[in-house]
Amino acid sequence: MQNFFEHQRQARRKTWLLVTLFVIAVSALIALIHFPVLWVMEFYNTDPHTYFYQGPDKSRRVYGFHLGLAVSIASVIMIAVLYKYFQLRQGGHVIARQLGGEQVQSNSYDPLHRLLLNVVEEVAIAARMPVPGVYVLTHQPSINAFAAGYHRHDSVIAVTQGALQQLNREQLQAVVAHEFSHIRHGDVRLNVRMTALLFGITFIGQAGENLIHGAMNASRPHGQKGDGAGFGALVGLILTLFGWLGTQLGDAIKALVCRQREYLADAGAAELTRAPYDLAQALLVIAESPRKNTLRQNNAHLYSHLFFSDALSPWLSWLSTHPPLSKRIQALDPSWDGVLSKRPRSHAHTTVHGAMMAAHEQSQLQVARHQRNSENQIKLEGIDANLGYLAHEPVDAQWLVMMLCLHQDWQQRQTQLRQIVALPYVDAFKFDQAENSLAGLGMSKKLMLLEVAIGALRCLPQHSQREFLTKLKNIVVVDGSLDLHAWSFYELSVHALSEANSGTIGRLNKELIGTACEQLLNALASFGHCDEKQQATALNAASEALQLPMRYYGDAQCQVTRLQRALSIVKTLPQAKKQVLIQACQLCISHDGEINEAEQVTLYTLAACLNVDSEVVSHLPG
Amino acid sequence: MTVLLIILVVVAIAVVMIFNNLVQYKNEFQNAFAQIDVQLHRRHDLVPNLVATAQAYLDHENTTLKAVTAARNQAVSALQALHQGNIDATKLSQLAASEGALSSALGALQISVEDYPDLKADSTMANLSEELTSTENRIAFARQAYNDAVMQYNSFKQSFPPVLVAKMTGHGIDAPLLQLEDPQTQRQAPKVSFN
Repeated sequence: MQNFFEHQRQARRKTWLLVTLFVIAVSALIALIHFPVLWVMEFYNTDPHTYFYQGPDKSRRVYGFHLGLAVSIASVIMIAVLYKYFQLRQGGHVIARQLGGEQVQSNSYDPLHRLLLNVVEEVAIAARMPVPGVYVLTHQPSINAFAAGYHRHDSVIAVTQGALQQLNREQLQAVVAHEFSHIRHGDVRLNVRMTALLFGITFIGQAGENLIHGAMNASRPHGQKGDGAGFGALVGLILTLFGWLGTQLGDAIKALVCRQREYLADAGAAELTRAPYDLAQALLVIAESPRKNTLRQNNAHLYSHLFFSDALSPWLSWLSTHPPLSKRIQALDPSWDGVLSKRPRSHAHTTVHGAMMAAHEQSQLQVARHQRNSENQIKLEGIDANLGYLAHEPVDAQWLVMMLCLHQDWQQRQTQLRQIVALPYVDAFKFDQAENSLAGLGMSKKLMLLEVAIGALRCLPQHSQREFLTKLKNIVVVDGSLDLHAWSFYELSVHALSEANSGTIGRLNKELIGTACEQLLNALASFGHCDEKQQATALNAASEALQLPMRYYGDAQCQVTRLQRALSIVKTLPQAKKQVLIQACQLCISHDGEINEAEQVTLYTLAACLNVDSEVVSHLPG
Repeated sequence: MTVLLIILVVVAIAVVMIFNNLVQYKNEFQNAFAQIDVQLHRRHDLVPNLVATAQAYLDHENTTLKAVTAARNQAVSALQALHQGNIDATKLSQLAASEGALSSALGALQISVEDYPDLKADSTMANLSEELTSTENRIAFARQAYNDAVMQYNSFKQSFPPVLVAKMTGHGIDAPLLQLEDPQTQRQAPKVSFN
């Protein structure tokens, strides 16, 4: 077993290689940059050779120009390199944060995080090294990991969420061991140096892009293109071109320096865990994964050489920072036949499931954080604790909302229940439990539950929310009919989850709006009053308040569908009109001096969907 | 005369360097042993929790739990005995035996846990079982690190120039390798055949 210091010596030799390559790259860049500069100068009719030395001697002037240009470029690169170097020297956590990592707290309650911490500590024992900081790249579904740091004590190990979810314990251990051997071999320090040096070359491209942006934005307000802006844009273009060149050179350097040491780190990992097979399996999982293993992160390119496997797919294979996966697997497991089995369909399903679980887990985290802030939130007053928990779990909240929207009619209800149970994320046991406890809840409690559940649903990713809404519609709206409660819950959840696209209908004509108001108030009047005469007078009161003539329909049937249509029209009204409408509704409801549940529920739903505050809403029956 | 003096000085420097290396390697393996010690303690502390949690579910498998508790007590006393005085081979083999017994008892417990879905689904049990897996791994790795360090020490001590120095400077005896039984093999379920 080679010890740490021998590895450090090897790493130092690599550093010299790196520096030599870097010097070559920089001089190539400087040499190349002369041509466009000279060309630009000629274009603007300035003698470039008077920039740095104005003396009479022509040859000295030429010499002075070249030297001056070279020195200024070199010093700019130097400053960039030093800036990055001192930034990264602070420790691995800087890089981990820049790549979007979150530190795993050592007392984490999340089972996956617990497992990761345990695995890292285990490997630290095997490597006889201090335990590094542990980070998780929470938003990366791909399988990857990296180690970073300058000194042994400030190094960190980061793992993507995808790796946490898709690898089993042994494979995760192997990946962590690979990163540990990078730390042990002193590769992380080399990485810091390399990143800093390469930043010196690649930042030119970044600067060029900024210049172009600046020039384009500067010329706009004045309406004319100044010479300065044009010049800036031209220089920017040239810089971008050189930046691209610099990036390619940087990639080539990375490839030259890094590729070999991945084999070494693989071997080191096998030495630590004595289980090369597990590492081979982990690599195989990456190789067979149906998605591309690229990292979704802005500055991943600068750090691509840090990772466990290729974080980016370069356009030329010899520019890739890592050896091909198949070769690495072959080296670890000579008995491997080299055949990548296509993942069976069920597996694809599990990755989808995995992504969903990721969303689930993240939202769980968010919810959990939320819970800690307000402990009493989870214990909803007067509601079964199990229901409270379900409402806080985004995945469970989905079917909980569906259950709230069930039809009153027994037969339809059974069909709906069957449909809900058939959903992939419904646990039958919890479902039965929830059905029993929901039966005993009053309207206001149910609304409270809905509110919490919608809060949890918002934690789901956008596309799952959309999927949920279409499912909800399919299940809840049976033969285009709804009963009042179902309508209310359905409208509330749709309203809460699709705020962005309300008001897409645009301006509607007055007649249509008038009819809509008429329908709304008719429905309200019929809910609250049994006797037809009373209904008519209540409607009249409201129509006077609105100053809108209204016809009394008289039939109490089929109001809910009308209500639904009317609501979608009324939603497009301006806010002030909505306020007036709700006031009229209130008047209509309270005309007979008593307010029943149906009225309240309707008004609550209307007010909530129209974003209007209402007094009645705050006192719902229990 | 000067030549002799130079040779003497060179030899003295070599002896000092070898001695320093011996001390360093010895400290390394002793430190590695301390690490095993930490992990064994961790396992011993884990067992009562495990038993307490499992007890609620496995009333009639009391013998398994009793075996685990007994093995744990044995292991604790063996570890304590090791702390009194130097590390020697007999105490180590005693410790190895009792830890092996504990491993197999825990393995039996884990197998019976498999038969109780409720217990397996219990979140405390899931936590404990992850901790147990981790601890087993830690013990295995710590043992591996210890054995690596011992091997480094022993092979340095037995190689040519140090072998002359080692005996004179109190590094006469080879450090013992630790042979705990492999918990991986213990944990496998017993094979059942119907023939």
